[in-house]
Amino acid sequence: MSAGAPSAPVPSAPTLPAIYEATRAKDGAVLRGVELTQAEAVTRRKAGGDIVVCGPDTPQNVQLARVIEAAAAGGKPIKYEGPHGPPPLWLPHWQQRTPPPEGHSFHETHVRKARTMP
Amino acid sequence: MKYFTPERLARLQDHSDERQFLAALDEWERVLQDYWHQLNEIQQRLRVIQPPLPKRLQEFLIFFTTVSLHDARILDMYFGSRSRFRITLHPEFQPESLVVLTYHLDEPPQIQANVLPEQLLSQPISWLYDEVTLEDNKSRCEPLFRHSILLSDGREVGLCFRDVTIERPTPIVPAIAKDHGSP
Repeated sequence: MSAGAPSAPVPSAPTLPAIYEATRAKDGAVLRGVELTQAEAVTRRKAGGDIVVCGPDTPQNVQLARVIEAAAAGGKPIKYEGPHGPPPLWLPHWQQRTPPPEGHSFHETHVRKARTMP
Repeated sequence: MKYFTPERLARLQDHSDERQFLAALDEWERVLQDYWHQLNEIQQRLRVIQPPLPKRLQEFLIFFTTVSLHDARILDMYFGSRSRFRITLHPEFQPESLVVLTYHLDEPPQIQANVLPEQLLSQPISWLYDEVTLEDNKSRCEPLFRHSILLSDGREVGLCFRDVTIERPTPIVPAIAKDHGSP
């Protein structure tokens, strides 16, 4: 290899999605709180609280949010809802088809992000 | 519904193929942007009309461009005497207040049943998606609007109206749980 030739790019480690407590602001934004384990997220969802899955990989975020919501559902059907406001505030989410529990498993996408708590 | 069609909603439910699902999500984003662009255009057109739009209609347009009633519980919806149509909602955002919409219709409401596939139906009946459009109203000077509302029991309600009021009363019944709602 000649001197000064560009070296092959080093593949970066895949970034895993992270789960956080979520609350909703009055403008529709999803506010990201403390980080949760998957088990803690399921417990929070069973109690009717919101969670949000954050990360750069949309399919991974969707899938993890789905797993959490399905675990909270305990076998009951869940449904997916697209965002319903302009980006970047509202986030898509999974929720129970027939609550309880109330609440949502939100997730980030490549254009929609949760807001960090002030 | 022109933008948030049942077909698009159904495509978002299909997660069997990742590429197809992501395409459906991208399409949803594009449609949302088209809808919000259309809503802004309506507001701009109405800013220059004479006589100016009544304040309550301006408030209605501002309300539906700044808040979402998605998932709001529908407590009642009825067609009363003359042309009055009323909807009472318990919204997910600001749940300490109800939202009461009172329309003065230009024609009877149009109710279409079974527009949603089975996997999208849910109870109790809630507000899924809605679209506000401006109707062609060449025969009159005042603008005429259409509000299309998709309900979680699979019905679509179409309201053609010339006036509307929005109230935000504090409910006694239903009682509002203290831990329910926004921070």
